[in-house]
Amino acid sequence: MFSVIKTKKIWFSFSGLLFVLSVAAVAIWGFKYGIDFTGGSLIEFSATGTRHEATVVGNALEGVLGEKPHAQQLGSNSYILRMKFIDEAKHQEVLEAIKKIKDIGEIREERFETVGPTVSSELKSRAIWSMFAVLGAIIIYIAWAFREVSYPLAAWKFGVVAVAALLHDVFIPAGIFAVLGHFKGYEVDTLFVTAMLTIIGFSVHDTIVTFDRVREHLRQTPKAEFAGLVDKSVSETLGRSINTSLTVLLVLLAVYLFGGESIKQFNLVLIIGVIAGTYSSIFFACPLLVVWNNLARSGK
Amino acid sequence: MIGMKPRTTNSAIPRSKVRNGLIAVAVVALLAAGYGFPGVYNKASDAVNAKTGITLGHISVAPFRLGLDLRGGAHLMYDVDTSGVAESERASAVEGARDVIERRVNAFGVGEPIVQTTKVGEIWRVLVELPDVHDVREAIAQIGATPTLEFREQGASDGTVTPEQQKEIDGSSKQAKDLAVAALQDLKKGMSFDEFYKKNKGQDFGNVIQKDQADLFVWASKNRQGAVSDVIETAQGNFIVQRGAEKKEPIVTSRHILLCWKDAKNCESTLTKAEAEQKAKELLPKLNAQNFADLAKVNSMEPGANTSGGDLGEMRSAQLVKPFADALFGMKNGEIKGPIETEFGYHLIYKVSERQESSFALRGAMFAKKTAQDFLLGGQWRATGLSGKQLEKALVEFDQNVGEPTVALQFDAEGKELFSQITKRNIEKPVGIFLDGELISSPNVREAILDGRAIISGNFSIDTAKQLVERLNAGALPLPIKLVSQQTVGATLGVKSLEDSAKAGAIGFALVLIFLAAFYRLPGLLAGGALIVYCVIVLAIFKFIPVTMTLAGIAGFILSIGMAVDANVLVFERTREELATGKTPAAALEEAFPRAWNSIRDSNMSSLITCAILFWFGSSVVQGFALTLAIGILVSLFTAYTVTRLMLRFLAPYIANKPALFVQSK
Repeated sequence: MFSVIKTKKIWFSFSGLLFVLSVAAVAIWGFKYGIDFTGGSLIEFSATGTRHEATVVGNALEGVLGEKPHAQQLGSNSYILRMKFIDEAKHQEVLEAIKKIKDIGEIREERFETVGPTVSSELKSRAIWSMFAVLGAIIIYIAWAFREVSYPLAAWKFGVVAVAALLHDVFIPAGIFAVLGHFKGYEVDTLFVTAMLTIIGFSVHDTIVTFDRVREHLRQTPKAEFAGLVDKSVSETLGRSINTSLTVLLVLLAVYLFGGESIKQFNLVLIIGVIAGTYSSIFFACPLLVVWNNLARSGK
Repeated sequence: MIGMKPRTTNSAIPRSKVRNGLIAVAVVALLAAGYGFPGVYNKASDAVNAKTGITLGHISVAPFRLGLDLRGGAHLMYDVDTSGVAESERASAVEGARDVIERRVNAFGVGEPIVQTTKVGEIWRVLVELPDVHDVREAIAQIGATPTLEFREQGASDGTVTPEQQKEIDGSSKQAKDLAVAALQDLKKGMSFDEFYKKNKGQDFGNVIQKDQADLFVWASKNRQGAVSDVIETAQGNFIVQRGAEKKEPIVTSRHILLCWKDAKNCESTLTKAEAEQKAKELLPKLNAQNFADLAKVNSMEPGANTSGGDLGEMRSAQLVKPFADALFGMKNGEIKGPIETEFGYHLIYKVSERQESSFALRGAMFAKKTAQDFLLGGQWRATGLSGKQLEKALVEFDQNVGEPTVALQFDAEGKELFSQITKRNIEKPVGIFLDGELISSPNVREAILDGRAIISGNFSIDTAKQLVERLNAGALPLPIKLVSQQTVGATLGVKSLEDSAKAGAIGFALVLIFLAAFYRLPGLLAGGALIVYCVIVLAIFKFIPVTMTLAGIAGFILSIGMAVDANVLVFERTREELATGKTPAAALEEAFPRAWNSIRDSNMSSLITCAILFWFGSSVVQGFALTLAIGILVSLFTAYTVTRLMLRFLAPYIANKPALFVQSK
């Protein structure tokens, strides 16, 4: 039988490597924050005339804005412009300036978002607080759900291991987004944080199912060797873990491929997180339980 | 148990109960489907009616509530400045501002606008959602506009402006400056002055002298012909000008004495022309530099001469009638001459002094600003204290005689009192009605008006009268507001997003059904059936609450489809394990459901906790996502567990010996 526990060194090295790379990516490049965290404005417009290079559009607006907006092409003849926070009067001036670009044709503003500095700092602090709130609530919940388990591992240790697993699941998409942000301009915004929190929920969901089996076996055969028991639990829940993740991934993929531009990045975070979450509950959380148990016993 | 049917399986559950349960589920699902998708039912009902004549009726078509990102519209966030209000009264003052904004917003006539107040920390906010709005710019202007209606009476102004007016003056001054600075950029980039002149609707300021435009004159005197200025700020506005030629012109200070005859222009005297000339000649020898002013006061027939002493001040020749100018400019300083005949009469002239004055031809662009003069109207109108604040209501009425729309005003108690006083002291005099500082009507008061009713007739069209009435009724904002965040989505983008997500949802749903059937065979198919029930119920709930469907919300729902299957997967995996121990399919199922329950409950609980926190902390987008995901998880617990179990129990007798329906044969 395949044993995760016996091969744990491979999984720990793999997870450790990914974790270190992710932390390094975040440390080196940081995130590219969206306007809801930095404050600023975004204009999306489509045009009927000649298709221009994004830089042409950006340069044309330098006079009005006093700085070059970050311009991007989108789809067939649409553009996204990101700039500092502008008020309504300036917004109209920018639109006028866009209309004056040579051969741009008729333009239609599809989307305009602007976030003032007070609002953005508020959104940022809310995002940070909700992260902490979710983490805290989950530890408490797991400790409560596993309260009857006390031997060989205390209930709170299950909670801590589950949280270690979910940190792993959060850091990996974060690292990938630091890379994507640096090379492709992907942004970290409110939706990104939402996706992260959803991953946390999902990751714990997955870990609990596996732990639940461990709990059940502990109840039935309390004297059994812990490592073997965990191994057995993992292989019993393996099918379920993979199949559940597959169904979730199927719908996420469908939304990613067909669901339109605006929530593509949100979906990508979820996809990465679900894969990481499934991986970690099988190959990371369970071996970690065993390692902790061994340490606790050798310490006695 | 009474009435229990003979058991055909080892299940302890009576068949009738299973059947009733299934029927109940089917009824709930059908009701939900009818509510969620009335179009389908109504079509079916029509078809039955056409074929059989039985009338089944229609279900009313309640639409899903769509978020702005899916239907197009604007989301505006305003900070309310409460610094001027005592802390205890802030909440009600903000509510007042909200009410005013709501009334203004309702006047646009867009579908279901939402205006809410929130408080974040110490900051009060008003959130405005305008679905389907076409002209966001106009909407923002209308929300922020403060109509000022004022009643003024004739008389000299006291020369001061109100603090609001001062604020407006300062604002327009800054705006004029910004415009000028922006326009200057064109010149700096090499635009020719002619082009600049055309673009900025330039004007020829003529020959500018120091007295009239000191700032422009000073600049011109320091620069050569053809030079172009930077922005020059003066009391009237900001100028960018080009200097033309310098002109030097004599300018003369003088006094005169007028003796007119009865037919001369503006003359009130009864003298004949000869008598006037005679009088002038008699007076001339008596005049000298010292007594000229005094004798002018006594003898001159010019209106006002008794105080001015005939002083004309500094004059250029162009400012004077020709015979007078010719004489005066030909004289030496200190000379007294006359009589000179003009259309006004005979003049005796004393030339006090002459000097040369420079002027510069200037042309260019002016970026005007408002000045106190604009509000004080040259001292013609005086504030009365009666304004839109004392207005109870305004309505559109039609003038009985000419059928023209007018605006009728009804004042409150304070306004009634003020208005009766104003009309009492201004009988047979005009009262000026000013809107946003502009005179729109100045009717004459015929008699004192005591009932607090006034009619404004100011060449209104029905539309402008209506708009004015709406703005007046909405009243002034009690607190200043500032737009701090705005999200606008065009309708076409919204429709595309909606179509995309519907398509993605359908594809995802189909993929899950295929996956379930392929992996779990018969139970998988049944779980697929339960999933359809799930979708129908969830959508009906979304409509019922109603949950505002946003892109993130739909993503939450689609994600919940994937997660809804999880409970099924947990049970089926359990069933496979139980089958592996040699149990019959029915027995294995009965064992699997309760044993899987702990995992299902605990694992979904963690997602629900996350949803609760997201809902608590999140912005509206995030809340939509959290709410749909949470509703999805709760319903999935019911459908995946209860509904699937009912179906499997119902089928149990027929599949008792067919484990191949459950697992792949090994």
